[in-house]
Amino acid sequence: MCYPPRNMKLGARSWGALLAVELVAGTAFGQPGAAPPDTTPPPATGPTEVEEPKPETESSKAEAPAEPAPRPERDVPRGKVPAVLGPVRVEKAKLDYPRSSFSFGSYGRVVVASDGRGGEGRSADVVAYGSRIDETSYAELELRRDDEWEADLSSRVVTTLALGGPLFHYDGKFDAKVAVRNLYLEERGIGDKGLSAWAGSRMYRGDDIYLLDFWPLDNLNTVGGGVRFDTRDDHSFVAWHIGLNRADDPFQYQVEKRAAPLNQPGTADVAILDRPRVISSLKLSHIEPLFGPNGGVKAVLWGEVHRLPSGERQKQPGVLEEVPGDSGVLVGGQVGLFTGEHDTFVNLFVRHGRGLAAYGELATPEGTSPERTVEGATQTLIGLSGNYENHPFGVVVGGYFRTFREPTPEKFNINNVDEGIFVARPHVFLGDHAGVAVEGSYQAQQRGVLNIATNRPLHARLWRFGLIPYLSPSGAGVFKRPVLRAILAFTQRNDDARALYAYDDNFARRKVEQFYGIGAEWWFNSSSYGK
Amino acid sequence: MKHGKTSLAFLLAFASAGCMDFEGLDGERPMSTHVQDWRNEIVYQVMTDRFANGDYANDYRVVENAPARYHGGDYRGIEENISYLDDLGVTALWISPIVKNVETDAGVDGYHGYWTQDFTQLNPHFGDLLSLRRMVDKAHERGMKVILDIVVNHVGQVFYYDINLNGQPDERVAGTGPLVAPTRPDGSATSPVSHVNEYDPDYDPRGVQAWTSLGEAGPAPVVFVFDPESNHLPPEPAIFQQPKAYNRKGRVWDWNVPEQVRLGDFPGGLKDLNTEDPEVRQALIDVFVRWVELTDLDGFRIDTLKHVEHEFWKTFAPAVRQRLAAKGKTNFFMFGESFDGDDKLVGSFTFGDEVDSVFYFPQYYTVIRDVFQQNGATKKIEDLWNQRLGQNGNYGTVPQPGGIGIPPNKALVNFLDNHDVGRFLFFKNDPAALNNALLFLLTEDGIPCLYYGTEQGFAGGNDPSNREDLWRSGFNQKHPQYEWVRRLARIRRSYPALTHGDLKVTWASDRTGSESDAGIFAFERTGGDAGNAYALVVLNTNSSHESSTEFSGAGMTVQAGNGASLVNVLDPNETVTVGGDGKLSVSVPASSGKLFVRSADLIPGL
Repeated sequence: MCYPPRNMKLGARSWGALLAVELVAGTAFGQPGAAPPDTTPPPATGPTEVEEPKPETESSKAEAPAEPAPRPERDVPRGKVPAVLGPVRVEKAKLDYPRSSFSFGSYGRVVVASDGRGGEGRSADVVAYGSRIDETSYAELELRRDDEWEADLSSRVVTTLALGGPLFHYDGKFDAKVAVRNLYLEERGIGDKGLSAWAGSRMYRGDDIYLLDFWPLDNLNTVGGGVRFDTRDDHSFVAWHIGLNRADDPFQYQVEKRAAPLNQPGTADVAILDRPRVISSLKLSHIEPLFGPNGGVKAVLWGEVHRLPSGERQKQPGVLEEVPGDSGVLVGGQVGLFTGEHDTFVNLFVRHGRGLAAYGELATPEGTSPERTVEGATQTLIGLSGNYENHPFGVVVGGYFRTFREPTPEKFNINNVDEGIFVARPHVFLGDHAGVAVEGSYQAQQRGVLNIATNRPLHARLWRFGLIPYLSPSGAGVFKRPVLRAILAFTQRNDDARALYAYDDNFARRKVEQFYGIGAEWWFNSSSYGK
Repeated sequence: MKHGKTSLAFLLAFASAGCMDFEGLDGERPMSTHVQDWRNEIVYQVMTDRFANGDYANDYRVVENAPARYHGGDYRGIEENISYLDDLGVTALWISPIVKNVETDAGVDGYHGYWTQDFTQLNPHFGDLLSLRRMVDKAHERGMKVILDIVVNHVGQVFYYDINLNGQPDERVAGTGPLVAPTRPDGSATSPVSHVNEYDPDYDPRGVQAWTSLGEAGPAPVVFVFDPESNHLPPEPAIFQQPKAYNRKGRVWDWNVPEQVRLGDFPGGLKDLNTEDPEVRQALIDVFVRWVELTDLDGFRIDTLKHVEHEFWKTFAPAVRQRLAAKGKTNFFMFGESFDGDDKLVGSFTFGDEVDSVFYFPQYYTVIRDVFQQNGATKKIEDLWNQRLGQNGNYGTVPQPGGIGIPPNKALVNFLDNHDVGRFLFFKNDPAALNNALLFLLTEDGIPCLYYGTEQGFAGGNDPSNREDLWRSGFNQKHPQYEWVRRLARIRRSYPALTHGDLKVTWASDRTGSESDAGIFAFERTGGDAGNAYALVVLNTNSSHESSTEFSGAGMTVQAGNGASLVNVLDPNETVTVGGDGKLSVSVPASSGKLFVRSADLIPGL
């Protein structure tokens, strides 16, 4: 429900007209307080639509996908006006705007698990983006304020708080981690009505691989801004963004004590090195309707440019060293198919980054070239995600292969990685509100070191099998949420996988890991998406 | 939708998950013999941490401006600068111990490698197994050998003696005895107070004892430390986590007592291994043979040789030779450090199945220090050499069975300085004297060993000042010392008399003043395995005036042959002719030397 400001004085006719408009609006949006006209583009490809920010426990972890977008509509459909008032011609400019709404959304998962041996259930993955069957608890709380100022001119404020464990009820301490993820304002309908702009802190992402909690193509967490232009048919858009971030690491930031100024006693903290990374991205996306009224083909081109200025760093007390500037470039693409029915889709991702762009936007390199830059670092990734449902069955798959090389002169080092994973999770839907999923996965990782015990290159391998019975009150479907679920998983790890853990760690000794957990996952109204 | 091919490619990639080419550095290493004759070799001592930093990724805890901390040198750095060493003319690299050390203790890092904590793992500061293998391979490709420094006498500061039985390592301060003088100003007596550091207590022949104010309480328990941050951890392999693997008698405080020297802990809390225990012996054989098997190294430089009993060497050396020979590696050179001027003691380890050779420490004291640095009488050189050259000398005259095939007395490892003594130029800041000493080093018999940095004129004092970063020199191949060493190395390798010839002193002098022959020392290299090849070295060790090979009418007799024409290799414009009586008179300017060969044998351009 939207009302004019309290200090606006209206006569009875005006109030009546306002009531009529409210009724019309209520018909259009379904219920009071609904969001203003949704100008989102055509349906997304399955549950992994663009700009559905999700929380991350680590910069490389991907979170839950968004819900499928509703079919967008640009114009407010005209509905019938109650007979008591008769048809009313309303001047929107005076009476409909501004309109506002507030919404709350959340993504969350809670899990508690045992390893079957008296210990806590732990993630056994060795690859960077492993199966999420044994993931930890995490939640996002999202608040949104939507305002429509004029026809096709709107703004949205999005705030997302991320909450990481541990949970108070688990360790009895008030030590949960909190982070501000989204904190931005977006304006839509600037000038040409296809133009939008935003500024703030934003989880700026595209489509994910749900089973791996991973965004393989575009996933930038920066504080900055961007613009986007959508074509009139909403099938295509181009988006540009620029942002900064600065990891709290001597690679970018160093604070040291110096004598206080003006000969005062004590010390002052001085940022000897302070060099935020500037990241700019460009995205071209096109959806071509195919395969029926709701299906289509999606193609995305993505590019990033990273830049880090030079600086100076304290190497040892009294000794400063130059830190050269760095840069990097990344290009990638995505091709996807979706039917628009039962969240059926498939996406293929390709991505190649060089230099600074070979690292995640919040990652800091460990090894550098002799010139102390990351020029020469490379990362190439191929990813796959897909879902097919033909009730009462469904299967969701995901996987990737990644190769990463540091720019160090020493060709063989532990950070040089070739790795991959493939996961498949078939579902059997038991009626409309329950189901059973099984998961099978294989992951392997080779690092640029020898296992000195075997004298062979380290080649860690895992096989995993899982069983997930669940209750799904919202209906049958792979991506229907919320769910209550039990998780049983068994992971077999080879010698090299065990060699990755320190002495005395159980994971260094056990060949088979068990995971017995119960938990829940939900998402609703998690974030604005579309533009 | 093209599921089929895409999915298959994925699966294949995932299954293999490996695109790295390990360039043959993985898997078993075939071993082979890379040396023909160790007398042809010129050893170069590399302090790995201080030679060259080739990989910044292993530079954790590096503090470059602190001499006793890690500086970042690694195997990659050696590999990248192998051409520097090849051009210098050295042929065998003696590298620091490779095993994992106690990281740091009392503010000093284990950068030198002599504080073993884990015999089975590499020191990650220097690189991993791939990096080490590649460095060894690169050396072998250039005909160079790699010698591993090993320590069997002790490990790092891995446990303390709980003397006061309070369960923590501390320094106990206690009054220790009867009242003694001097008295206080008021006339009352004082009582001495002792500080007993539980990591490093004094030697006790009974073993370190626990005691309280009420008296002794029996042997002090040995408590292994567990601090992963500083890598003070129980040693590996597991035998070294048992107290019986150690002698547990405390630190040597009287180096004149043989028992202390053999059984005592090394100063700094370095725990002495019980090398008489069969399990300890076997473990040491196994770990060090394994390293050779993993890397195809060519020899061992053995630290603290004299601190381990002869019986151990009689077990260790043959076992190593046998196991390596069975896998294709023969001519494996084992030489030890007996840091002592006692010629008989040093030489005692070169008999009966023990080591192939030792560092010629007596020569270091008697010759390098006394003569070349302090202008002592050159007669000392002759007297010292006479103790090894005869059949009843202090050094073995029979090659070790399965060893390098050279009698120890002809394979001594000669040096001017090393990591344990101040550099030559620190004690005598005279480059001419250094050059003269280098001429001596590279022309006498035995195997020369050059300490890194000598070729760059480094002049550091005692440890750690003598462990400078070589990379700060810029690896200057135009440095006068570099060019001099390069020249001498080429000369040595080119004239078989210098590598294989027997040695005979032709002139030595008691005189060190203004006498005509003061400071002269001359010797011939001929015969033996060099056949008829001939070289004559004449050195003037005094730094004040020219001297010659004559005194009071007596001249020098040489074996070159009456009337033979000799040319100075170092200055081919100078030729001399042996008299009809076999006598030869040679004058040499102060702090310089001459090297003569038969004129017909001169190799131009060296």
